[in-house]
Amino acid sequence: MNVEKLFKVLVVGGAMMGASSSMAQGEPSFDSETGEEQGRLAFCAPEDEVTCVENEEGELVVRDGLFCCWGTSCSIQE
Amino acid sequence: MLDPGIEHLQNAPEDVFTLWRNREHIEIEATIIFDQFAKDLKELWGERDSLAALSLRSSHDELRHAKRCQEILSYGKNCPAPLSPHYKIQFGPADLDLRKRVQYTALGVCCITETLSAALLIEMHKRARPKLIKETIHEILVDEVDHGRLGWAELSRQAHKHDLSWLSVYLEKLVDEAFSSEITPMLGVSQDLAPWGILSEKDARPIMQETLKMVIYPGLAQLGIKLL
Repeated sequence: MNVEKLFKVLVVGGAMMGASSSMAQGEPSFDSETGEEQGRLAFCAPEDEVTCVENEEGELVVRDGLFCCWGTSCSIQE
Repeated sequence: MLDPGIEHLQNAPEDVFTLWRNREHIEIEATIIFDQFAKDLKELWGERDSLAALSLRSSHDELRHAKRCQEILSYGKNCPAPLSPHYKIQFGPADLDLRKRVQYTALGVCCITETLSAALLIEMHKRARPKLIKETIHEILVDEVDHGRLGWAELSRQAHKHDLSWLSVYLEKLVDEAFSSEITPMLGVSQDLAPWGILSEKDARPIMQETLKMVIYPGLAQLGIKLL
């Protein structure tokens, strides 16, 4: 199992959501160890055309440079 | 012509349906817990809190998962009546104040149970064969990623202002509870059930141990929560 991916998708991805919700609450974003990685990661969302597209075989795939969260055909490949 | 996957399901051993029934029960419990968590998050952070909205959506997701389990159960010899989320669950110690209750739920339900569940679903998805089971597992997996993140998000936003180390005392107990109450009921004795979306305890245990060691404990340590 790819535990590094699991860590990034869940722990780092969660920290990103937490930072974003804090900002929405009017609080400044906070720093954390996981936060250091936030600027380098961008996650896919299967229903979002900005992150995921259909390939020639009709499979939904993540766009280059984005981190797949098992929402698309990447879940079958791994 | 019948989908060959459906034929497989009709021929599945009875244990498969018993274990999917257990999953249905656990999905219904999660429906109730996420609904209560959404209410607590709203009370703590306000009506328009994005994580409260995600928790409410998670509750709806879990109910949808229970319905998907029922679809699978309908191929068994004795399809039981659907379960309903019409009861209350007290998650965690009754004497916690609102903020601590939120922190405790985020840890136990999301960071531990949902994170372990996501790890197991990845493996189940690889091994599942009948189309309905594979699609159901994938649907649950996609949602569990969000449900796990919800807890990591909540504890992250609290950790910069509040000390979370008090949760360390409960960490081992919450992990044990996740194993015994949420995960073990969905595991099979035989390794032969994997094509029907059922992992054996022998296959699941190393995945859970690796997830705890490499994902959950390091993530929690960054938030000040450590195994004592």
